[in-house]
Amino acid sequence: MPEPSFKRAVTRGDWILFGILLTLTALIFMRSCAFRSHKKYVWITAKDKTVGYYPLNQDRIVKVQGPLGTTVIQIQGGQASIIQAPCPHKFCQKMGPIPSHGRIMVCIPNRIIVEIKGKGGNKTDAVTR
Amino acid sequence: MPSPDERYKASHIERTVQFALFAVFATGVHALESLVTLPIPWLRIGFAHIVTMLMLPYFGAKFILGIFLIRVCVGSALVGKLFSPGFLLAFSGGLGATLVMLCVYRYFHEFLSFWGISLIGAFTHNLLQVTTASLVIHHSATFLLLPYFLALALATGTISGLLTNRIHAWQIS
Repeated sequence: MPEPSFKRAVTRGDWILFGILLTLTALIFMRSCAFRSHKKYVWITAKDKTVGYYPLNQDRIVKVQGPLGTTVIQIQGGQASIIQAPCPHKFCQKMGPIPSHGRIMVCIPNRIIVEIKGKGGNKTDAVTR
Repeated sequence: MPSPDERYKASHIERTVQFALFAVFATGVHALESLVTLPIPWLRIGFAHIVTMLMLPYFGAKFILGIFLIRVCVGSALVGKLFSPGFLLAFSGGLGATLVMLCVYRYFHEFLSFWGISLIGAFTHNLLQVTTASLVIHHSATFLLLPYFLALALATGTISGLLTNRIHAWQIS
């Protein structure tokens, strides 16, 4: 085998690179923490269409029409929950209440998705489709 | 004195044998690594990438990519994870990391040891895995894990990189 022209020990470049990546990770950590403390919204989707979004810190009750009937969503005390659903199993009621970003409640029979997102909804996250 | 034709044949056979041996070695490491239990499920130190990095100074891009394809397919099949979502993540991350490490080695091998290459590889691997995961589950919530994944990449990249430095020094001495 030919003698490789390769560094055998840790070089200064390694340390510089390590420093850069460490700073990058720390920055992303800080950004994600800041992102979490942003104002949160409750996004409600029915039949693949956005019905509306409501700030999480204002108490209110939202009624949404699905194929089976009316699902009642309650926003109270910084949490969202489904308090009334027309579906047979009521799994969506048991999934709540949801308090934080990225959490989700789904009612498959009534085709309703309740999701908590940061400000601007899809704008802050990547587009995945 | 062998004729040029025979000499070509000999080197060709040598290359084939080397390829086979490295393929078996890399596959074995890849499969055995999934048996190592770590506190976080799916966390891997990246021993399979050590094999990739050890090949960097001696073999070309085609050789190394071929070894990667074989090890990820056969290795996943051995542990029963071929074509599972986990396989998709391992494949995309590994392919990206291998390509990036090849480029970094080619252009920066005078400035970086295996530690630097390993760090860049680990970062690419985890970044691509998070991206692929978000594509697989059609939800961008996986990016919330990104900071933790990158911190883990710093740790595992350092471990495997320094190990590779050791192994390589021992290998050529």
